[in-house]
Amino acid sequence: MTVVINGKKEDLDQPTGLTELLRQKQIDPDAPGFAVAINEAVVFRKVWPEVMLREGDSVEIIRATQWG
Amino acid sequence: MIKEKEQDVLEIAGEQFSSRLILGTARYPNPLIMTAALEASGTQMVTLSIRRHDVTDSFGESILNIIRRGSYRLLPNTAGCFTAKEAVLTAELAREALETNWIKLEIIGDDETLFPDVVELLSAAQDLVNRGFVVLPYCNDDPITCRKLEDIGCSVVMPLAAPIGSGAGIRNAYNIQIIRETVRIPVIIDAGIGTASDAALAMELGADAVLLNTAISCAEHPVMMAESMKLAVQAGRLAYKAGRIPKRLYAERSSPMTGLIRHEIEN
Repeated sequence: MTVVINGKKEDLDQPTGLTELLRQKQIDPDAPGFAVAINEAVVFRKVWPEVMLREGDSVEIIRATQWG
Repeated sequence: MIKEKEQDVLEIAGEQFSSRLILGTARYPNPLIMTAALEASGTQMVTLSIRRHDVTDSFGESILNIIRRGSYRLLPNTAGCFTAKEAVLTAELAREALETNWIKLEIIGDDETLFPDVVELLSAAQDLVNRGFVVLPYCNDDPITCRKLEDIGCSVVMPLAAPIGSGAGIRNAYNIQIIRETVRIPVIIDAGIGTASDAALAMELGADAVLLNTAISCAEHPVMMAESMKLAVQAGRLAYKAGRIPKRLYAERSSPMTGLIRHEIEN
């Protein structure tokens, strides 16, 4: 299954949940300051455990950083 | 006098601030200097960007942890966005990530000037107000745009003094004065401040607050500059409230002309 994560194509071997993907990216799903959008819609934190990624999904994982 | 000063608070969307200086968090030499500068400035609000996770954070520790220790109000921004669509998604992500519905709306038109794209800005501002955001838009020093942003329901207007990071100071003081007289919401001068006198002038022209970043973070001594900005904003605000004298082309005596010693003999 191919998905796009922060603008880069990635192949996932098996069905992957959003929380699992975050852990793979070294993100603690309980840590503050992160947010996720799939296909340009924000996925609220409370539903992260229920979300499974689908073929072609475009995932944006963001965080607050120093700027402007 | 002191009592009057204490009551002089800045109110944005029902929230009160005693400091009229808002700071960015970019380009500090290191987190220690940033923390000290924020403290020295007396600021109560700092702005942060929203970026993809894999962007390397040069500070190592999460910026959020550093700033949260100082209990500043967080003002996420949409810096780097070119379209209303990008800005609205960024604002939605910021609301989710930082648990605040406040957003500094910044949509730029090109990379050279970093001037706001007014068409996209007005469209995004309307959309975000409809979605329940407290919108603080970075805009041109144009009274008409500012009036439209107020009509849309923005909580403040943030006209630029000069291009972002230019340190050029207030390029169009007349427009800032007209903006002050045009809108009833707070006017915050954002971008282009280079040194303390620029910040003082902004306040003397009637601005309610100043937002700046580079002037402090890239100064030779950021912490010292942060303190000078604090004092400049306070001085400018006091001067504005005190009511300056009008400028004149010719001199006007400050001492009376009677009783002077003269060599002429009166008849």
